[in-house]
Amino acid sequence: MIKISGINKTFHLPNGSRTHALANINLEIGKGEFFILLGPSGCGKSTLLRIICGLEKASGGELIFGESVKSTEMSFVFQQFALLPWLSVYENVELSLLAKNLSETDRRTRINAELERLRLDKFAHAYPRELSGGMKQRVGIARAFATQPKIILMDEPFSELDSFIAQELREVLLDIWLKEKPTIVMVTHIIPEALELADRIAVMTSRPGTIEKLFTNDLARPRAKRSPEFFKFEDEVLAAVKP
Amino acid sequence: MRRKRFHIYSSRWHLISTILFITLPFVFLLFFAEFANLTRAELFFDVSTSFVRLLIAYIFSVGLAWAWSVWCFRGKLTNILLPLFDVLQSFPTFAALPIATFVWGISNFTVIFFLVFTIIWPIFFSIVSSLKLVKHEWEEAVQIYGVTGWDYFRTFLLPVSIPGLITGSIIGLGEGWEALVATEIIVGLKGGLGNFFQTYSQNTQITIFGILGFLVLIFSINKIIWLPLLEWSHKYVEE
Repeated sequence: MIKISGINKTFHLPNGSRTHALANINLEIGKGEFFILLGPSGCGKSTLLRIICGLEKASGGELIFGESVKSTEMSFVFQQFALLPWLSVYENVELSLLAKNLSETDRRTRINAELERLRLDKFAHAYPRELSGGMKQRVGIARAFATQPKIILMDEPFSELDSFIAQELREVLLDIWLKEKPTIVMVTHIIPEALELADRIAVMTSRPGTIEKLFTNDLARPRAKRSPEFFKFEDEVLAAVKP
Repeated sequence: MRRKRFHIYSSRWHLISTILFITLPFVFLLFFAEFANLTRAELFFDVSTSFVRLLIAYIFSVGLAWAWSVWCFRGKLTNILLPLFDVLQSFPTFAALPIATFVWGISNFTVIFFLVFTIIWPIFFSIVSSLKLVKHEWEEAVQIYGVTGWDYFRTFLLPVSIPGLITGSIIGLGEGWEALVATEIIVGLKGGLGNFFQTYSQNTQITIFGILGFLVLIFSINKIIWLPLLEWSHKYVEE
């Protein structure tokens, strides 16, 4: 589905110096896979995600999407929600569908279905400033899923939320993913979150960002987060993370 | 789909006081005409003539300032054009008034041209500031979902310009009123507040009441239009 070959990224700083953010990243992410990029702050995981969705250009390497995935078939969930404050909840979800060639009726049906699924239907006319962080991210997720994308990219979507809301939204996300099976590539620095959600985890190290180790998560779903296997796996992943 | 309206007026009292502010300048003008033994038609004609000149200049200024700011707020042109416009905005426009009057004569065009040249800069630089302060994530959301053309204009470009447009309009029109009266006096155009003040410049009482009326008019416009819009524009981009 997504093949990343030898991707590297160099940032040119205003003082003339250069920073190597990514070096020789090689990954293959399968169709319908829940893939997580895990690592400490500054390891380049968000940069890699932004390269995948086209917000950044790679300095070198190749990025290939299988089955001719178009850019409009990718969605993005932002860490800080990125809702347009002058648009209502309904209009923010609608934003992702404006470029799609849909009739007004189809568009309305999709938006209402997404709002209902994420329990936002009563807040359709509310504005982002009237919502809690958790509700805002629900809108972000609804906006991403409304396009029925083949690939969803998520940049630390739950890190701005308290642990209770984050857990609730992880369950919502898993439920939707299990039903629709889009490919999800998510960035996080929280190991238990990665273990709970991912099929595979790529641990990244920094300066320059490289793939330190790739883990396959064979824990049975739904994942028992208090089980000895979970803790054992958590320790293995933690040992691979180099701050 | 029912859309929720933005409320500019926060309460019924706010609306009533606004209506009072709308009527205040007219009541003042009627009283003033009676007091100064002027014909009401003459007074209303001068006020409305100036108002229309300013309105036309404002509409032109908004259109031009918005188009320019969108065109040059980023990219390679920014580094050249913004310093150039910064120099141009400090250019004393009245210094060029004799040449403009020589070229276009004593006409409405001369007055409106000078008003545009005065009003446009605060609006332009305020819109540029608004556009430069846009959160990257908002832009990226619009970019990722491929929003272009008319949808890009109505859902993104216009809304992000509005706070700057309102702030710039308040400053620009404040300068515009001043330039309006001065230009009308210097050019010597018939009709308008400049003409009124020049005609009655020897009559202290009428001049004082004229200035007072002028202040009431500007104060009312600010209270009725700009202050509610300014408050609304702050809420508009509040996350």
